[in-house]
Amino acid sequence: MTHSQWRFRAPTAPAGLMERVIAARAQGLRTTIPDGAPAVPRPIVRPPFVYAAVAVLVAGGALLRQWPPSPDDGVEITQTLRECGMTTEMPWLMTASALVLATACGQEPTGAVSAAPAAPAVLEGRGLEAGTWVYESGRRDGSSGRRRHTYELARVGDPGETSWQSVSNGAHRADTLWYTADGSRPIRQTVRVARGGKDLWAVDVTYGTTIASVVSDYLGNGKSPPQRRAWSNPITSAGPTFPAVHGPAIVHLVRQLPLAREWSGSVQAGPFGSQNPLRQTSFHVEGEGIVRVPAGVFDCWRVTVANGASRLETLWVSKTEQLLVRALSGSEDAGVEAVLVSFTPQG
Amino acid sequence: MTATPGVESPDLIARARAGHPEALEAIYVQHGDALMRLAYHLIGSAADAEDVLHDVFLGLPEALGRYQERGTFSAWLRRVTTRVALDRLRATRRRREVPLEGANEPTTSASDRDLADRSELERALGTLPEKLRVVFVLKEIDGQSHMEIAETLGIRVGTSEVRLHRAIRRLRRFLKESP
Repeated sequence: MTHSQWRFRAPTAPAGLMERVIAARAQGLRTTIPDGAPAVPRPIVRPPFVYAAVAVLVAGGALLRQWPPSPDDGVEITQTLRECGMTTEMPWLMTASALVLATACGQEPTGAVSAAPAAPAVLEGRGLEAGTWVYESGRRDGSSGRRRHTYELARVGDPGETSWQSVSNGAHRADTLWYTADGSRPIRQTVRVARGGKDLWAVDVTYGTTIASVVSDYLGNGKSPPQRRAWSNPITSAGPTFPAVHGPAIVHLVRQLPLAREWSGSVQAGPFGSQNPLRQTSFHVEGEGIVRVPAGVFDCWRVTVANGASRLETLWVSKTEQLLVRALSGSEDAGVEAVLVSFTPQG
Repeated sequence: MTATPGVESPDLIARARAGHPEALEAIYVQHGDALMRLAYHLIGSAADAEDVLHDVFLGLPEALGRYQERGTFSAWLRRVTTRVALDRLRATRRRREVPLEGANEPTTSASDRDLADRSELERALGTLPEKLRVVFVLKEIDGQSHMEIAETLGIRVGTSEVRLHRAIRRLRRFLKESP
């Protein structure tokens, strides 16, 4: 039979399913389902070692032009190399060019991040400042609606034991972060996600020299009863220099980076969204430019954020106030962006 | 119940968006069979396909808030169902070599030989890797174009064509080798 004749059996839509759906909705249960908008193919991003390998081949090709060799090379091993199309200098040059290009491409050493990495001392920038940030986010191609998120940072605690508390509220997600008084380390982080007025899941992380506890409370997916699950990967290692680099954390983090032309640095971030206890997240100022957002027009550093060789997102940070003015994840055409709508300092 | 995807009135979609049960019911009557068939072939289990349909319709009013009425409603609904099914498939890490379970509604008009062929085909389909199987199901069973498949999966049209070609080649090889 030809493939055009292929036929497959399938069950029909079950009777009574809609009654169950309607009854569940009447009880306030909801599910979050993916967007039905057309997806854009991801651009092909080759890892840096591919470019390095290509460059090595090009360098090798250039060296081959030195053929034939000078007549005074009579050593047997040299001759063997020549029969392979190589000169004695070539292995050194190939290795050197590979290293240079891998470095130039930003490739980081391979291997797992150690369990207790030394904390890079990069948080020496502008420091934390109490205030309220309002952002608007959505897809660049307009396939999703625009949503507003408010991030508030304030000093809390008794005199002498002050710390920072950051509270953010998006449409479905609420984050609360507590930092040490100098703002250099996280103390605790809670996240709560809700849809349709129902809590879906929550997580509470206490940081310290050792991450003392990570509690994940899955409150149900709208269909089954609430479930409480243990964190899948208990963490016992040195604390990060910053919480997961996303959401409100990134807003406060960029203010503490000593940004300057061509500056690079990194933080240990975690443990959200990763099975690894800690992740090395690097920042690089790769350019600058004028950015227009609802909050105004800003002269910005363009900062790329990456985990190892994989680029996460691009940030535009104002040069004077070090405000996160714009963040873009993905392409300019169809990526997700957040833009600053307003910033109101307190006191 | 028949699956005759048609043009929904803006009013029906608006009422479904507001969560009116009768509007959801109308959409289910019109598209339920086609979506069930799609989910079943993507996942390979009637029970899981039913869960997918449950999830889709439970979250449909909220999802319709993001529906911008570009293209047909049925294409949008199929894309949503495909993505929910794929999410579920990946979450449960179903072993690909597990054959499709028997359908609960056999076609009575088919000959015995035809039924035997179908069973073998379903078994062959169950052996395909997820990437190939998804493209095969969307193209050959659901009748989507490569352009639609590319938009659903976020891949290039050429990638979809290549995956279909590989899927067909593997299916033919499997059917040739099977006793």
